[in-house]
Amino acid sequence: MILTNKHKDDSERIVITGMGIVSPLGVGFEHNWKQIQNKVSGIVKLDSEAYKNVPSKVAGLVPSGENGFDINKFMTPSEQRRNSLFISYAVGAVDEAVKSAKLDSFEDRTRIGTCIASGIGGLPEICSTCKTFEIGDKDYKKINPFFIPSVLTNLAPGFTAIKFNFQGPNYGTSSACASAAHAISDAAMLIKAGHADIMVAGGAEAAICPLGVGGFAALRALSTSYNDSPSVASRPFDKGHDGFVIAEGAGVIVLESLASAKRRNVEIYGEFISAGITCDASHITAPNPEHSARAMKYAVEQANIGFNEIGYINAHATSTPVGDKCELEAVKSVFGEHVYSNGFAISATKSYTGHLLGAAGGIEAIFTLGALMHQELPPTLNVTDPIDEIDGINYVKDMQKHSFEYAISNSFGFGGTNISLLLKRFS
Amino acid sequence: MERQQIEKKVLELLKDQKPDVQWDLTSSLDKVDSLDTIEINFAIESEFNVSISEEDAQKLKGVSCIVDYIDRKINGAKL
Repeated sequence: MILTNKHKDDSERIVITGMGIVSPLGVGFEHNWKQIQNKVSGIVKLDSEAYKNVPSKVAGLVPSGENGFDINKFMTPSEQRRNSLFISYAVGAVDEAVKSAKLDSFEDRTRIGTCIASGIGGLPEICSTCKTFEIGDKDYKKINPFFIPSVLTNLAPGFTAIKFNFQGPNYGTSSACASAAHAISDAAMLIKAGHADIMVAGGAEAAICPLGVGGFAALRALSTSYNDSPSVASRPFDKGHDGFVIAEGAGVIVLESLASAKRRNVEIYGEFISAGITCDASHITAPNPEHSARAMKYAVEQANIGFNEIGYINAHATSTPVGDKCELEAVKSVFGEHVYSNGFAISATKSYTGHLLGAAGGIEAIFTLGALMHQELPPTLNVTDPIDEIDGINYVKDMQKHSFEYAISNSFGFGGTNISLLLKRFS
Repeated sequence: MERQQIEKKVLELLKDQKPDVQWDLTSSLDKVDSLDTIEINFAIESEFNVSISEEDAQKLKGVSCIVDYIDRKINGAKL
């Protein structure tokens, strides 16, 4: 029997009590939300010589300067030498999440776990070490002794645990562009199964380097038509969409049982209700709407609510023609006529940030929580000529108020992996 | 390279690697863990363009030891 929230006790309900974000829009949830409200794109030109032979010259780089990322705030010089950039972004996001959830004062550190995902890990550092190694006649002594631990995907949660003293379950999921969403779902399951009271979960990615961009370009997955106008390059649901814009950053949330949150008397930003998790089992890169639909359907069924209660979907929508259309087909097949009603909206925040790959599900869960908390919807930027498939559906042209209780955040990844997180406004 | 110069560089390098430790010529490497030691040896090899064998690395237990070792390697000084 599936229990509704009314029947669940506080130890079975999972709430979100902390959020932290490092994205192409800058650092911090409040700042990111302001950028969204002001419709500011985080996409910039990749103008380094290193990219001269790559056809896509736009990216969502984490900015420095005011409201940007200052690594020295989070990592000592020695820690910086020993860790890849994606780990630094994870630490930056966790730092904010820990502060917002007031985790410093939580005494039993064995009950705090960490599940932070990365799709690729330390790719730029693998490239630079490989170059030094080759030039140095493959002498192992030319390899920084911290090379291996600095590039492993699980060292984002591993190093974070050392830094913040989290002694509970510790690992990272890896499912390409769905990695962070799987991490969040796993975190909720670990709490429900009693392995931890609190989980710090999400994703971190920093794979923007010539090999990373070149690799996705070789797959013909990246946008190439907007190199001179980066702010309009990520345009999900627009007829001009021509591939995703690679991006970097980290998004982390703090999940805990409602019982624990009440005991600690901390602010609650939203509730994790359920996740639908499926696989296409058909193609490495091409999505299949039948199985992404199944993920959304399972999530709603597990929540034991009506399909018409989903008020907003934060789409995976990466701005590739195939992916955007496939997702809309899946959404329509699950929600039917409801998608055309005033009670429903779908938007793609990748239009602001580009695609953070393994961290995307983390920042998008946060944007979905932001929408639920503020009861306002983040727009999809750059839709000047909407694709036919979105005709009649509210894709959120401008920031708008919206009264809703439940939202879904979709994440799909190479390998045919699909996950839909179902989140609720806390009441 | 003059010995004084080696001493200065080694101390600078150690301060850079482990700024939280007070380093002088009498300091021991007991203050750092095994991974720190590996990183310090790696930095010494890069800075002085010398190669430290695994066997020699085991013997480098203090700052004066390290200075002697580099002095011998690059200047041929007797211990």
